[in-house]
Parts: sequence; C-alpha cells; structure tokens
Amino acid sequence: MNSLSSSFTWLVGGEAGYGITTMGAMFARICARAGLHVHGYPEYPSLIRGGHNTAMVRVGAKKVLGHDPKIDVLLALNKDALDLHLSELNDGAAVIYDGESVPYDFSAVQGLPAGVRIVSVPFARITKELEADRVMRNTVALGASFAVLSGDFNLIYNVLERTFLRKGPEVVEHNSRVARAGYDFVLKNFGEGLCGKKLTAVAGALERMLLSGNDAIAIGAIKSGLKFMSAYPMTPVTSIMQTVAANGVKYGIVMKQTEDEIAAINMAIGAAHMGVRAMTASSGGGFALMTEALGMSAMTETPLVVVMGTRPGPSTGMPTWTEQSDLRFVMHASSGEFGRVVFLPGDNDECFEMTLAAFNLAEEYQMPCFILTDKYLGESVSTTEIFEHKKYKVKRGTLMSISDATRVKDGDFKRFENTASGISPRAVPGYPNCIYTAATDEHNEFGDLDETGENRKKMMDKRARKMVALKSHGLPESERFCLHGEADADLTIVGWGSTKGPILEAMNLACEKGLKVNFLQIKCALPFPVDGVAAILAKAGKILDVENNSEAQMAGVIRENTGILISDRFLRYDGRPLNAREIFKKIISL
Amino acid sequence: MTTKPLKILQNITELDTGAKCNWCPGCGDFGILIALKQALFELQLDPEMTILVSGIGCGSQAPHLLKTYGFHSLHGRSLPVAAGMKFANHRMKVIAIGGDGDGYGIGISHFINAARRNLDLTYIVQNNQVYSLTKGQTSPTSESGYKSKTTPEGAIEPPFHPLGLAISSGASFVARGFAGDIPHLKEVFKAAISHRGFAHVDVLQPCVTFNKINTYRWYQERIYKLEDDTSYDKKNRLEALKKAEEWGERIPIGVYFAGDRSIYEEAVPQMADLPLCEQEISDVDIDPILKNYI
Repeated sequence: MNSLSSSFTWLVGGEAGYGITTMGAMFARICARAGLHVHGYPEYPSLIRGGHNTAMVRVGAKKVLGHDPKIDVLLALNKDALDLHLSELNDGAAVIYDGESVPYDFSAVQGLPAGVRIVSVPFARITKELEADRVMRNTVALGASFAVLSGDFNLIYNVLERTFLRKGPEVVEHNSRVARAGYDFVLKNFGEGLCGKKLTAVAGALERMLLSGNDAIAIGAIKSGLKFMSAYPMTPVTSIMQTVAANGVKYGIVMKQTEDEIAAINMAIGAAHMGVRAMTASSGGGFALMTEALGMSAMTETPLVVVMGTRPGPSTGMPTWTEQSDLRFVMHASSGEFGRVVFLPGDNDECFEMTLAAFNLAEEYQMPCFILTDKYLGESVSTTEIFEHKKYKVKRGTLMSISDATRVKDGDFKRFENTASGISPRAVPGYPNCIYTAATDEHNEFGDLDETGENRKKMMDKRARKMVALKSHGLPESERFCLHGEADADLTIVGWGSTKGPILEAMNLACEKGLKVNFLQIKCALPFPVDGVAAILAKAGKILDVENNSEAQMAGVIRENTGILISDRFLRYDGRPLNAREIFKKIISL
Repeated sequence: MTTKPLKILQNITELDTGAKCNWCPGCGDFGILIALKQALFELQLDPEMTILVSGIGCGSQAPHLLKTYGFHSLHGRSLPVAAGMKFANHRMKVIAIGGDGDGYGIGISHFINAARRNLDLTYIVQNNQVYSLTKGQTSPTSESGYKSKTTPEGAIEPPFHPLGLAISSGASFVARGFAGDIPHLKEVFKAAISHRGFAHVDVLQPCVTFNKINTYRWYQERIYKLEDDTSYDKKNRLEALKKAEEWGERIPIGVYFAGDRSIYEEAVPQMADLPLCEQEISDVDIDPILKNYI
C-alpha cells in the first residue's frame, strides 16, 4: 500500500458533456500501462450536458485502495473547476488552466496551501494553431499535465498509439502532436518539477487490467455461463448491461432491455426456469419494482442472480452519487419468509469471485442470490491483477439431464420433493416424463396447489432447510467474513462493501503510527456469519462501525444477530464515498 | 441425449391432470380450457414441449388443469415470464393465459410491449369483464355504469377495447372467441397457436357468479362470425382496426387480423443455432475479454 504522500491525485474538472470521463479514462490508462497502480473515481450530475463533472485519478507505485480527495494536480477546464476545487489542493500542488480563455484572479483565493504552482496553458490557442478540432483542447491539457508531473511523453504516445492505431497512423500522429504541444508548452514556459509529485513508470511491472466493479461483475457473469440478462437502464448498473450486450453475439448471451424493471426480473425468472443461467440488475427504485417477482423466484425455487447497485435514496434521491443505504432493503425485500444469499463485494476481485459463486449457489440451492454493490465500487476503476478463472467449475446442483428424465416414470416426478437437504430434483420444461406446474401459490411436492396447514408447514420447512444446507456446505461461514490485520488489536473497525479499500488504508495508516487496529469485513449479509462475527467482536477492544449510510444498518444487523452493540460509528451519507483520511482521523480521535 | 423423443398423444384425456378445479359451475373458463385441449390435441402438439404460463385470477388456475408444463406466475406478469421462456428455449410452444384484470389492467404495459416485440407467443385473455377471484369488482373491460362493490354508483370510465390496442401495438395475429362456442373457439386457438409471432386471443367469457349483465344469453344475442363475411380481409390492418371498434349491438368473433411480420427470435443471432438452454456453459473462455482491459 502507498502512504498518502507516495501516491498522487490528479483531477480534471469541467462542464458535463466535454469529454471529462474520456480524459480521466485516458489518464488512468496511461498510468496503468506505465506499470503504476490506479484508482479512478468519476463524479457527475444526472444530466447529459451542463453541470459539473470530474474524473479523479489516484496513482501510486503500490496498490491504490481508494480515492484521496487531496488534489496534487488540478486540471481545470472551466471556471467552476477552479471555484470548486482550489480548496481541495494538497501542499505543493499544481493547477493547470487556460488563463487566456478563463481569466482567474488567484490572489483573491484565501488559504491556498504552501507551494501551489499556477500553470496557465492556452489550450484553446494551441488547439487553433494546430488546426485541431476544438474538442482536442483536452488532449493539449492531458499533455500539459504529464509535463507538470515530470512524466515521460512516451507513456502518452504508447497509449495514443494503442487507442488510435486502428483509425490510421495519421490519427495517432495528429493526437500525439497535439498532446506534445501542451507538454512542450509547459516545459518551455515553466520548466520541470512543477508539482511536488512525480509520475515515474515502474519498469518491468506486470500487466494489469484497469476496470470497474461493474465490469468485473459482467465478466464474472459471462464466465459463469450467463445466457440471458434482462434489465432496464439505471445508474449505477447500466454499464453491466452494456458490457454483457457488447459480448452477447460472441458468447451466445441475450441481453434484453425491457419495458420496465418488473418485466426485467419476470423475464429473467422465465428464462432461468427453462434451464439457462439468468440475471437482472438494478438500483434502489428499479429494484423496488422487482420485489414482488423476487418472491416468485423463491416460491417457485427458480435460480436467479440479481445485481443491486445502490445510490442515495429514498426515491430518486441523488441518482449519480453513492450510498450504502439499501442493505436492509435487499435483505428483507418481498413478502413472506424465504432464504437468499446477499454477497457484499468490497473490490473488483470480490465482484468477480462473488458473481461466479452467486451463479453456482443460485442453481445449487434454487434460490435468489444478490450481489450488492454501489456507485463507488460499480463505477470506479482500478488496476487489478488479471482474473484467475481456470479453476472455476460450473455447479448446477440437482439439475437433471434429459437422459435422467427418461428414467423417470411418468407421473412420479416431484419437482418440489421434500428431501433432507430441502433441495429437490430439477427438471426443466422440455424434458420427458416430468410434466409439472410451478406455482407462486403454496403447492405440494408435485407442484399442485395445496393450502392445508400440514402441507404449508412441510413446504416452508423444506425451503428453509436449503438455507441450512447452504450455510454448512455451499457457503461456509469462513467465506462470509474476513478479519484483516492482526488478530490482537485495541480497535476493530467493522465495515462492508465498497468501503473496504478506504478502511484498509486507514487501518494501515493507523498501524504505521503504532496503533493496534484491525478490520472485520462482512462479506455476506445473508446468511450472516453469526458465530465468526460474535467471536471476534466479543474479544475486541473498541469497535468502530464505518458505513456509507445514516442509520448504521450493518451495526443493526450485528446487534440483531449477536447482541453486540457498536456505539462508535463513523457514517457518511452526503452522497460521497468515505475516504481513508477521514476514517484515519476518526480512528485517532477514539 | 440432448433431444427427447417426441410424445404423441393418442387420446385427448391424456391432457387431463385430474387436479381438483374450483371454478364455479357454468364458468366460461371450462369452455376455454376444453377448446384449448381440443386445439392442442388436434394440432398434435407434444405436451412436453408446451408450457402454459398464467398470471393470477380464477382462470389462471388453468396450468394445473392441463397436462403440459405450466407456470402459475404473478398477477399481470404472465407475458414477461413467457417471453423469458421463449428466449431461453425457442423450440418450446409457449402459451400465456390470464384474465382481463391481469392482462388489460395491471399487466397492460407488458401486453403492449409483447405485441410490439412479436416473439412467437400465444396470449389468451379470459375476458369476463369483472374481477371474480376477489369477488366482484369493476375490471378494465366492464361496461360504463357497471355497478360493483367498488363502483356502487356505476363505473365512470368507458370499457377498454383490447383488440384495437393489440393491432396498433404491432400484434401480428389478433382474434376474439366466445367461451360459449367451443368448436369455433377451438379453431381460433388452432389458428393462433399455429401463427408465427405474437398471437392475441380475447375470449368473451361469462362470469355466472358476479357478472349479471354480460351473460351467455347477452353474448349469444350479439355475436356473429367474421368468417361468415367473405368480403372481410383479415390481412388488412386498417380494416381490422375498424372492426376492433365494433362493440355493442353486434360483436364480431373470429380472426380480426392475421399479418405477416418477422419474429423477434429470427433477428437474434445468438439463437440462430441451438436454443440458449442447450448451449454449453462449462468452460467459457473469457481471456479475450480480459485482454481488452489491459
């Protein structure tokens, strides 16, 4: 892990619709290809044009666990970017802007940190002189920011070449010339070493992927054998639909955009019932529409994978921001009582691995499985080691083959057989000898409607036993939590999901200061790892609950399951993700 | 073995499940179920390659009474469930069934989109113009002024005419039958099930318990068969739309519209060869995708 001083934060800010996201992605890609570790976090309002967009990229020679809001290089493409972000500068930061197009009186700014350098680069004039398209001001600015960071221009060139070569060598050269002009302007007029931080390539570094949590989930689903996805676009999960759709023809996967979320989940269940691996994805409001059909998945024992990427609610809330406020919603959604799995991935590797696991568990235990993420994890990108996936085995549980079905005596097949594990044999429509009707009404072992008290209790117990089997076999407790750091600590931080990186970094910062701090990461909300969590917290010193919500929902779940009350809480619910600096400050204050 | 042997029905009673039925004596649902069984039998469809998907309502019990595969889903959601099934295994014959509240009330947006999408599905609506399972409330097709427990002064909204909506939404086959004329209804079902594309059949179905207005007699006095009018061109969409407006003194039954639209499945290359459910998933190679992220 980097110390805060060994990594740097680059931030580009400007008007929405002017290529901010693309610039951030390009900067992050260049740094990743240079062998550096990267974390990129985008902020944007819920509109196409206008409003303020930023792309924040944090770069370090070691693993970058999250964003750092202290800016070392501010690339301001308009006046708002200066107004909004000058107060966030680090000591020794550099500010790059186009003073000719956006005159700005820095002398009027109160409290700029020590050693801040103001670097005015005429993006517009340079672009015009090179007879380049207006939008290429961003490329001038990109070149300028590498000069400010004393980065090697070849790093930019290599990525431009890989990005544009298929459009022709002249496009590569044109882009390179424009970037070079910004780069050279800075060196010529301001010299080197403008920023206290430097961008230095790591020679011989491993090739790594640069991807988002959403990408990791989509790739995990494809690896799992996903055949059908139905969903309705909603921030922050839309890119999962798009990634699956982009790979659809090649991998034989149908991604159907539906008329609404109700159709989305019902279609996914219909497809899964026929024996394909199916999933849907949504965020709070869309998932609210899905809750009735979620119960249908449970009642008809149809495997289903649901990705729920949360954002601030209630209702429309703040559509493009982040929050962990739907933990309880996902745990309890739909009517009645039934088992489900709720995975809480904390980084890209967990997004990938938990998606693989979710598809297996959904089929083995014939129940809905969730992957609960949020905007911060879903849409932030970070460098990740190339996924290890060769060992993955598709496990389809009691799903029969047509050959199995031919041995069934017509009329004997019990689709909902009351077995010891609660898991029944699964034949799908189209099989011989196994005709049955799956019903959302209570039914008997054959699937026929039966409202007798005796049958009701029997079938409720049967379905509930699947959760018992899952806890002991499919997903043992040891896989549902993780204690990071030393077992012996004075302070144990409790957290889940996207806060994993910032908490880990804060824990490391505290340990470097000689404090004894560890981190209990809850990786699965259901089934909750009761015994493991209770054992760790019972012998913990102080406990601090850290969550991106206002009600400390996980602390409530822990109280409910273990009786342990966590009264020290650090909660953020302004739509912004938690960062290591503020968690560290909280640790110190305890 | 990846394909099952064809199951050929020798006797129509092989479609009976023997399950207990709780429909009221005289319910139009009986006529619909009998006509559907006869249609399936005469078409010699393999019951193991057929699935009946219902919503919630009196008539939605039908899958339990028909020995094909069945899925008794949620109120208003039979169509998206059926669509998912068709995507997963487009070799199956998928028939959705439900009442007027189910399809024209809570499920109306799925109805419009299913017609527009034109997957090869059959959709039968048991239209009795009343909510019966909840014991007699106004439905989207109840006549204006219809008095029920929830509209004691009479329904204010005019009834909804589903056939016109189906045609203008793009349905490639639109028909109407009458539960009191089983031989005719059977023929309508056979045509709908044989049609390639989204086929909608609205079935006029008296509710003997809660609807004292739209009775068997009421219908018998009004219905006439479209096929008796040799000048009627069921391939003419605009004429069909006009015909769909006809309601009151005279009510046409039969095939209103039988168009020719390419089906959704044909435009999906992923489904061109094997159905999705038969495609191998045990060792998916994601390395080419991972490379894109490096």
